[in-house]
Amino acid sequence: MYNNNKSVKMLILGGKFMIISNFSKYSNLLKGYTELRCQENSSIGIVMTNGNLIQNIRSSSSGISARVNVNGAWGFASNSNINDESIRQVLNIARQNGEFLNSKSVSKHRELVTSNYSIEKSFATKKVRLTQKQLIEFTKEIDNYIIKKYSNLVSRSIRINELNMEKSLITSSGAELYSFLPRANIMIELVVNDNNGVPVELYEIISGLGQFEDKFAKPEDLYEKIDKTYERLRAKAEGVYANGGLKECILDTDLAGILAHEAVGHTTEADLVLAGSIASEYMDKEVASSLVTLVDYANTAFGDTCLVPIYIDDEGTKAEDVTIIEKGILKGYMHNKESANMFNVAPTGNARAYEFSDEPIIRMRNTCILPGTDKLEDMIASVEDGYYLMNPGNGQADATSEFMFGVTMGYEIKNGKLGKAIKDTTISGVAFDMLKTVTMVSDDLLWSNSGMCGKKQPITVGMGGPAIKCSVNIGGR
Amino acid sequence: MGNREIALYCIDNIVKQGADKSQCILKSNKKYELNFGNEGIALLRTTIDADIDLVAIKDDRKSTIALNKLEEEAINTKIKELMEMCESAESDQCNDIAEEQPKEEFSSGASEPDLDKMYEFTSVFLKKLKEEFPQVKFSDGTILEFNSSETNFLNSNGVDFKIVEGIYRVDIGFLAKEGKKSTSFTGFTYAFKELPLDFMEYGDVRQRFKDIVSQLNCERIKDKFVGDIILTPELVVEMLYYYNINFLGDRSLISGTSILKDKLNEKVANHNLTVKCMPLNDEIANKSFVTKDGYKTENISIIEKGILKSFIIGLYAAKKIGKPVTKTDFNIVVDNGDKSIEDIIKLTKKGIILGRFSGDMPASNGDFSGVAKNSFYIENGEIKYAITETMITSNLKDMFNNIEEISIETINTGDSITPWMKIKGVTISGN
Repeated sequence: MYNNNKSVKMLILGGKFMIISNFSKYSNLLKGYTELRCQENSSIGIVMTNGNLIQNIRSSSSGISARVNVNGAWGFASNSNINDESIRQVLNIARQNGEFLNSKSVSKHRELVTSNYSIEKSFATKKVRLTQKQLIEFTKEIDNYIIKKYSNLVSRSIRINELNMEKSLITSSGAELYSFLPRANIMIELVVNDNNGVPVELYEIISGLGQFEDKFAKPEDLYEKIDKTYERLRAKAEGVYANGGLKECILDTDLAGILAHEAVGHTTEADLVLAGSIASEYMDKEVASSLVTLVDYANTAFGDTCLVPIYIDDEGTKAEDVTIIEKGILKGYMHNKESANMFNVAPTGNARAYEFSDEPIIRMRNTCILPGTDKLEDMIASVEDGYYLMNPGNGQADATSEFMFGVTMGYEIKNGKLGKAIKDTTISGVAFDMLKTVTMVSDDLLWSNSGMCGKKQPITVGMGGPAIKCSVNIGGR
Repeated sequence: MGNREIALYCIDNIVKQGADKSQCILKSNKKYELNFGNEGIALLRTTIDADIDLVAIKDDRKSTIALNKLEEEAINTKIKELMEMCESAESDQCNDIAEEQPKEEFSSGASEPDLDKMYEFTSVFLKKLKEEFPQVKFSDGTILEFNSSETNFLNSNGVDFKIVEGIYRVDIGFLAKEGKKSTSFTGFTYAFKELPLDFMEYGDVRQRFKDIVSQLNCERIKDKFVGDIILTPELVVEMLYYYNINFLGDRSLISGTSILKDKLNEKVANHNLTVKCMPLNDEIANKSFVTKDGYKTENISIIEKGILKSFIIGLYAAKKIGKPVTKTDFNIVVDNGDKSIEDIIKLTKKGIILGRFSGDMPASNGDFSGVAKNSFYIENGEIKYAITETMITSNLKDMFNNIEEISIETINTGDSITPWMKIKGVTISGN
């Protein structure tokens, strides 16, 4: 985290002790319920399309923010300047804002759970950082591989992205956090013309927790993935439109992940439950086949660090796993402190803010359907007339648990065997109905963290899943 | 130093560091945001920020860096990094900055909000909503904000623009809930220079709440048919946004995937369709005075009576494909038609009013499919019922060729002005 102010430079660059000691000197200003956060988001973006470098960018955005609760009314303020004066200023303005609302009407005062849990977690690379030149060379090498091997492409595009979120948090109850949470990804997009000269595209994103150097050692490591993407694209170019309607489908791991996130996750965020999502009616009721267990992991799953590990959320709550569905029964919602008070449960550590200037809101962390015991090949073999759906596009969910995902790659299944590839389509359904149709769950699990979840603010999330067999509506022509 | 002096310092120093050309956009911004939910006004936010975007071009190599610090040392560090990035970039003759234009200042809206008035506006609206539509519940991100900003856009060719803006915006996400029934989420946004007296009476606000309440009782369409869809004004903007991305914008033209890339001055849509980008229109609250490349904006026609008159491309794409740069912004104004929306519905034999589209981005060829949300089924000229689990499938290019009617009424959201639009030949699949 870069900063130009001397005292704050100590605060940032001095590591854990300096952060704590520097923030501590403001503790006398943290009156009542207060959170004080210092954060920098920095990113790298390189885009090469048809050999042209069309984006060569780095950005950083940092600042201080404070949130204060005045008798139930919330005040928030932020400033991109990071110095003694701006810290005092945001604390004052946040309090004034809370007092302004409190003076206008009486808000319901709630006792918010406080904690003094502290942790530092950094996933910054320990390797020497690549320069922009080296990153561009990396991109060019991939581009050269593609153009030399596949001359019939209409278009090719390679995108490198890195996002680093570094933050320090202190609360009036003594909770403290320092975290450095990076994400790096490479997207490869290939376009060919089909037999009618109509462009058909397919993209693949390779993504993970860590800075670029820790995720991508050399361009050659991606070549197998590129070859597979091209092979599928050729099949898709010769593919057919799906026959629309309710079909028996195998949703591969990526699609099951987005299903867990969009179709169930959002409806069980407590703020959306309070807003009237259909999940408010289903606690302790059957919402899925008994083969389905769905968890929002805070930071560690199956012994491994998740792709978006959250140890303390931006309200200072220790982050806990949330079992949302257990063997088909709805068991839990994701909470911040305020919603936890309303539901009379413990907060779960789901309050997260994207930028320094954002207030924490309820967000998922790492949401997945747990793996089962079936083999993917047995699942495909069990389908007489349906589809094997592999790559998701964008997805959206609804308060009713009705969902929609784009499907950018898939195959017909005829008599238990994969048939022709299909063109871009969409699947949709009502999650709490559709999940009851799950009859097989594969024994593997894949995670991804390539997209951004959009609510009031964007945020990085992890999502994962096994392959599942279910009945789902597919769009046709 | 003032903001203009800092921007001047940036462009001078980038050139002193060896760049042939430089550009600086410095925007200082202050936002006041009232967040409201089902228990009333819950949060007041004040955010203060200053963003600088710097561009360097040297030997046709280009780099861009963004920061949000105004201190000299921070700027100097970033300029050094910017030049290192520039040296490592690929040479491309299409990298450029805008030519010199007369120095000019633009202003729009108030410089400071009236917080008491914002509170009053919200309180009155919430009270009316509770009285008239008690079933309505807010979802996340429901706000009234006032955003004030000062932007200095300077480059080494002599571009020197200053833009001072202040704008109110309401963003509302909501659903209806009654007993065990919940509707789909929906939402809308309006931008204003001044707050209206009664938001419930503004634009289509009351109708939106009436619609959501009637969506508590949804039915499934049982069959699959080829019928009509009536796009709401909001959906017209959304579909034109996709149209722009897929066919008219930088990426699709640079990559060559646009199926309209060779269709300038040719018929690409129904003769009733006229689409303009009008960032300077008097009726548009959220004006745009300068493009991202540094050109003073103009109101232009994109499609005129079905003929493609212009792409919507920036400077780099313009040079890449050998076309003129488009000096405009995406404030869409669509010419209205001659029938009322009521009459258009009466003339519809079988179809739906599409209130919201939940779907992936259309494919390069324009094919798309997705779920019709917050939508109503029409049969024999009558709205029969709200629908659920209904998919639509069509193609963007075909859709704008298959326009049957455009309404006389339009909705001005402050960002765009569009009518309702009836499209024939769309596949509608029930469950």
